[in-house]
Amino acid sequence: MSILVGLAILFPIIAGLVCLPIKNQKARGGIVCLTAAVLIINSILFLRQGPFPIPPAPTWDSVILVFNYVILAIFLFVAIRDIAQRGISRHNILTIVLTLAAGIPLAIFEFSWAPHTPLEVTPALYIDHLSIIMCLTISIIGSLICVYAIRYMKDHEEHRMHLGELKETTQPRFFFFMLMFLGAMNGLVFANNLLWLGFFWEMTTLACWGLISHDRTPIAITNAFRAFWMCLIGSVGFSLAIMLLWNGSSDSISLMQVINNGASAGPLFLLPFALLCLAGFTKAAQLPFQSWLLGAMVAPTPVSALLHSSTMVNAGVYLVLRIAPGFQGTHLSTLIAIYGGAVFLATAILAISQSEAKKVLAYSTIGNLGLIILCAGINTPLAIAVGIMLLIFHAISKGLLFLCAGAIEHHIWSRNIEDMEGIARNLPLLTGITIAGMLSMLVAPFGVLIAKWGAMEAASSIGVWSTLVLVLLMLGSGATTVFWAKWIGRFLCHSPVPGSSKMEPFIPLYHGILLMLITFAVAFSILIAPIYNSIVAPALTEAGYNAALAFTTGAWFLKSPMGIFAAWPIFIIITLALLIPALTTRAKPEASRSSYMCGENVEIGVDEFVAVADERTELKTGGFYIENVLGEGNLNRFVVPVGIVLLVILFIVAMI
Amino acid sequence: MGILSTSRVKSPWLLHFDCGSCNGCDIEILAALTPLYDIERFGIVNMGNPKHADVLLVTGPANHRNYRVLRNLYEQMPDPKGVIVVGTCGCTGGVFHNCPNIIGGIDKVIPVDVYVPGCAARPEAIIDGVVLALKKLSRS
Amino acid sequence: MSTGWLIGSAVIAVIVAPLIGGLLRGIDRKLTAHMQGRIGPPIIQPFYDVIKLFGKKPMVAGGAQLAFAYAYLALIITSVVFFALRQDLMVVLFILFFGSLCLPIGALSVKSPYSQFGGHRELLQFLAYEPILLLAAIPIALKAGGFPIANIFEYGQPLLPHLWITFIALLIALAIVMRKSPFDISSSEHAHQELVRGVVTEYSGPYLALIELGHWYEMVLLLSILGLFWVTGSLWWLSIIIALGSWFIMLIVDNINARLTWSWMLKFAWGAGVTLVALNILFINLGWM
Repeated sequence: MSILVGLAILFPIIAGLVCLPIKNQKARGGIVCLTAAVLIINSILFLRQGPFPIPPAPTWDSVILVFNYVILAIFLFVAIRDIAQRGISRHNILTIVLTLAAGIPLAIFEFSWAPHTPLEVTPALYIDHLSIIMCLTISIIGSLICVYAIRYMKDHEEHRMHLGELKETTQPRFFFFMLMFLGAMNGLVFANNLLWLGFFWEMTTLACWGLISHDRTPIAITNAFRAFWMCLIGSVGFSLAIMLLWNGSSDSISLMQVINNGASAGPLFLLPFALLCLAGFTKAAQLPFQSWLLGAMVAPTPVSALLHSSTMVNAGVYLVLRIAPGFQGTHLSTLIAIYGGAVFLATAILAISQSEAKKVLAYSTIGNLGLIILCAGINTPLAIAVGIMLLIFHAISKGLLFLCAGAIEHHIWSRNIEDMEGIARNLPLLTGITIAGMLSMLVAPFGVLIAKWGAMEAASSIGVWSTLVLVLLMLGSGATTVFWAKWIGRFLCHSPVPGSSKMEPFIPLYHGILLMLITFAVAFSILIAPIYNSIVAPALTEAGYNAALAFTTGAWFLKSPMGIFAAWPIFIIITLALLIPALTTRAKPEASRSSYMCGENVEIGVDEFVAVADERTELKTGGFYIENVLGEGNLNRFVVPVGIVLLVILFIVAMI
Repeated sequence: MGILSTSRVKSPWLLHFDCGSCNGCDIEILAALTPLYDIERFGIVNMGNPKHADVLLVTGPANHRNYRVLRNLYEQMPDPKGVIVVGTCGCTGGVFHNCPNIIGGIDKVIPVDVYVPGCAARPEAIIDGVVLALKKLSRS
Repeated sequence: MSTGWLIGSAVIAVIVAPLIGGLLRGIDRKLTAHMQGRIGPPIIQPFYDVIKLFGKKPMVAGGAQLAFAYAYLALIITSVVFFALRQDLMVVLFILFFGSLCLPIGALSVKSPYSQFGGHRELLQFLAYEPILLLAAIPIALKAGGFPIANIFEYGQPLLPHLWITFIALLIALAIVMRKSPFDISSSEHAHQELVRGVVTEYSGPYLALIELGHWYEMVLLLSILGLFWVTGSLWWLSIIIALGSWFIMLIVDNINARLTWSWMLKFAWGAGVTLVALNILFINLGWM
């Protein structure tokens, strides 16, 4: 069975290394597809296998020890090289300082505190249902994104070469980082030894830097450094947590043991949990660290889809969900819930003001991660079940939406939502999939909404603080609806088309993958009860929660302690209610009229009206973004301090 | 009369368009909406939108620039519809008949169903005209 | 409540709700007219309006417009059905919100300046009332011991004495949903013209009739939610009085107010409405209510 683990972690890394020297696009594409197939089959085999521990092999401990410092050295090298090339800036100085701050305590721990170097923990890797869920998400969605990237990067580089920005292909480096990243993520979710977890954490930060700075423009490099030092803050927390947890026996840095001991082992025991949560928060770009994720949107879209929506940022919330049983019932937990809610609300409002497509998606991602953290903070069986489900559904839907945004960008060569007005006329298939993806994030009966419903019901049961958590949740939920609906409206806004609109040419690596993902989104939402029973409920039980208090499932419903969601009937009724009119109503061509322009319209289908001096003037419509009130410029001065204050309060509460 | 015809008679929604009028007839139309004459008791509502309207109430003569707007508005009204011309200017051109910038009465541009003469036409006459138009609508 | 009874009540709800809704709209216009010193149309006027609209020739100004008009009506009927089947209140609200969203998205899908304005303002109205409605489900569930509406009936005691704060907040939400002054910002009944006709500008004929029917269903659903506050116990008929009384209060508020701005509406709804419900939740959790 270690073969499966080896394949999951090492195969992608080796495949990535193999990609580096290969110049032929097709051969590289072949390797990527092979890796994808291997990972997907592998993860499904994990599912059939079930939970099992992997004892450590001493050689791997040494390898990881060495490579951990190699990676930290790479960080330092990159930062110093940047100082040499572009001069001192706060980004590279912070990178150097924080790398040292993370590396030195770690070195002290590993070389002088630990009884022997390298320190062995039994088991080093532990596969349980939560890891399997994460592995499935990473392997399936991540692999699909890598396959999409084959075509995307080809178009991307052609475009950049056409514009004169790029001289020769940099795809080998790109695919190396992408594949290496998949391996690192698999390692991260399997790790039980905190040192190994830290290593894979650093590896994902490295991949993050490599991919954000891929285009090597000044802004890309700056944003990559911003990602660096913000994630490194989390790594500092990681190292400190390891030092705090150490009590002489190697069990104290076994993740399972740490969670089992929980908060019962003494007054300062919550502090390591808070530090680990801080690492999770920085990786998940929560307040006040959200600027690195927003800045990372300059990267090519597959990067945004893979790292910054469906996979890497999930590492952060995975960690918080994983250690949640350890701080169950404490004030820290409630505070984490409030923090997650605040992030959800703040990002939902900020997203309304953004007109760049990827920024909207980024804010929505941060918000949904905040929602998962809120669930982890509520820490009841129902809430944790909902958090896990939200993780799965969000990964699918958000990955899909980023890939759609990338495909749209490669058709209209713009990322601005205003330029996407009316593209449903020319790109009906792509727009249809995108709108379906947005609806899957937004409305019943899809998985994300079921998870939101569950979160609301779970939040109502934690006593006095539930008031604050619920208010944040409901307000945020309303705000998210506004920006999604606005965007859907922009896609569809065009004047009547004479004749029927033609489907655009079908590109398998774009549309095929998008169709696969939307099918997953719909299918998983319909099959939510079996999915809950087969993987989420066992994950709950393994973490020590009573799964019966979360959901009970019947033939056609999902029942929580306080509510009931009749999944099948709702799906069927809504589908019938929408499909029957959609398929039977057809507007006759002679029924087309112009929109109302006070009688000054020119012709049907022509977006012009007669204005001053009887001249034809173009009709322009636009969305509204209310930037002066809801924009980053106005809100960031409240939102960032609030984030900092909440984190400070979190740490104070963890220490008393 | 079937239920559809009854409904059409009982619920005529207006679109009021001032084509070239001096506003005298428009003020009288407005007066008809006030509590003194209260044409809402006949189900008449003044919608500002041709797509919601059944009856187009036009005042003033058609000239070489606004006939296009008039025709656009008429075409944006869904069938069945009726046109009522209020005031002498709309019927025949009135005092502006034969002026170089005037095409003439409204019937030079769109088909008219009811003519309500007067300068300005009185609200009672306007209401009479609307009733006539409704009779025509119900027969169509 | 046997399944047959429930399904029967759902069917009756689907048939009777628009009749009640239309009648209430007609009485609304009549009473408003009397408050303004006029006589007003007969109370079955809305039915004449809708039947006339169905008889008009269809006209389309945008591709997706039709689909959203049908979706609006279909989804609101779905949520009425789930309400009648006494399902989870929050799920009912979510389906209602999906339906309500179809209206602004349909408006936004037409390239028309007035429709765009109307659609965006409708989204802001949605932003104003959605948190209040969703939050209001929480104190109801806390009292009744669960979110399914069936629990309210099992609870056996009237909710209004404990939840009157939530009720007041729901009145604010009702005014916003019904688009009564001062909240008639995205479109307005009584043909007050708001940027032509706001969100329904580009809809005409049968599709406008569908939307009108959807409005009626929506109004009856919301009044029924208000009626839930005294639907159990020996005085259960008070629920009808409460529902109709709230509707009448909306009428008076409509006639004495002028339209205000959308930013005021958001501040008022979030400031007053959300705070009131939050206070109710807090008091229940503290054991004071």
